[in-house]
Amino acid sequence: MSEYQQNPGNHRETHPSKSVKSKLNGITDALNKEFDFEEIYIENKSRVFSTAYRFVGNRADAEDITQDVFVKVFKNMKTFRGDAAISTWIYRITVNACFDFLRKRKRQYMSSLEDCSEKSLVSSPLSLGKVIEGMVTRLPEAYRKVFILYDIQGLKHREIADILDITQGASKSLLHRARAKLRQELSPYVRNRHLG
Amino acid sequence: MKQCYSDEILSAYLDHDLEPEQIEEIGRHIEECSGCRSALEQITAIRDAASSLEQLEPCEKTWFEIQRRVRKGRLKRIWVWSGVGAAAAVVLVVFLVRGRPVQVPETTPAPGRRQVEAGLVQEYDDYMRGIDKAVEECKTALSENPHNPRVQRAYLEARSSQINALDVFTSGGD
Repeated sequence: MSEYQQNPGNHRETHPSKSVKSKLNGITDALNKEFDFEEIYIENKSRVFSTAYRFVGNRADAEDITQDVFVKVFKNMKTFRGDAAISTWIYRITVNACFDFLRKRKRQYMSSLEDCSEKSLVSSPLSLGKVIEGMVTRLPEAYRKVFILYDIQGLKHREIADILDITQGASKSLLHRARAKLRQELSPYVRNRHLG
Repeated sequence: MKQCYSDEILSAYLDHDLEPEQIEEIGRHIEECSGCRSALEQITAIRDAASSLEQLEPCEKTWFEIQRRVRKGRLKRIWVWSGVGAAAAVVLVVFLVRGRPVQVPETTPAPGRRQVEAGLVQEYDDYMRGIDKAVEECKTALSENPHNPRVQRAYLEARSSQINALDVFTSGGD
């Protein structure tokens, strides 16, 4: 018979308490969390990195944002309620991280194209996609968010509405304005290339 | 001919975000109006070019850096609770495996960040001793119950704590 069974009244001193058990559970949870986290990273890394890259326009900053996003994801995994898809939740963190980053730097980032002036566009040998990638970083914040998430990342307006906490109608409206703005900005390039 | 449409409307037309009557009306207008037709073609080209941009991959270093930051953050929390944390793991593993109560081993209270800066070596040594003790206890438990998943996990966690601790120590605890 164990000591505990012999003297159940003394268990407070010698018997591992519930809090001790919960601590071991915490340890195993932590391990499971690390395994889950790696899967989440593998599943979402390109979404996060691509989105960040399109927001800030260069790889180094996109790498930093990707790190910030996943560290935040790890810290907040317990609080994720599962109301939405995990990718939606991660996109929300990503978009917020991008704009926090840009606000901290207090300037709009130019893309790796560096110079998107009208003159350079006309003589640009780059594909329209690359030119758009550069011009997107010049779009107003609200337009940029929706254009990147819808036209580049391929999300649905329903998902974008969830991520940005706006209505689907607002998402559509912002997208159409973003495209209009881009056409206006890209007109020198488009004219030169005889696109369309 | 009817007045031309704005880019916003043409973009909505492209995505079929309009009422069926409007779509029909705009379709008829576009057939007749080269200006709107050209604008629509350009908007289509922009949309298609954007959607054809490829997904990019972060470099491998990013994952290692994330892991490092996550572990550092965890160790900071472990640092706070380590006075009971390592001992608790040992106590419960031994209890679960041997099925009898055990005394909680004495451990050194966890050093706070400022204390670490004041007496670095001693504090680190004490901390590592606690983790080493946990590892040894887990190893014993594991030799007795090699297939017990809770013991396996506790052992892995104890080993992981050693690595995390070394990682933080070598980087100065920042």
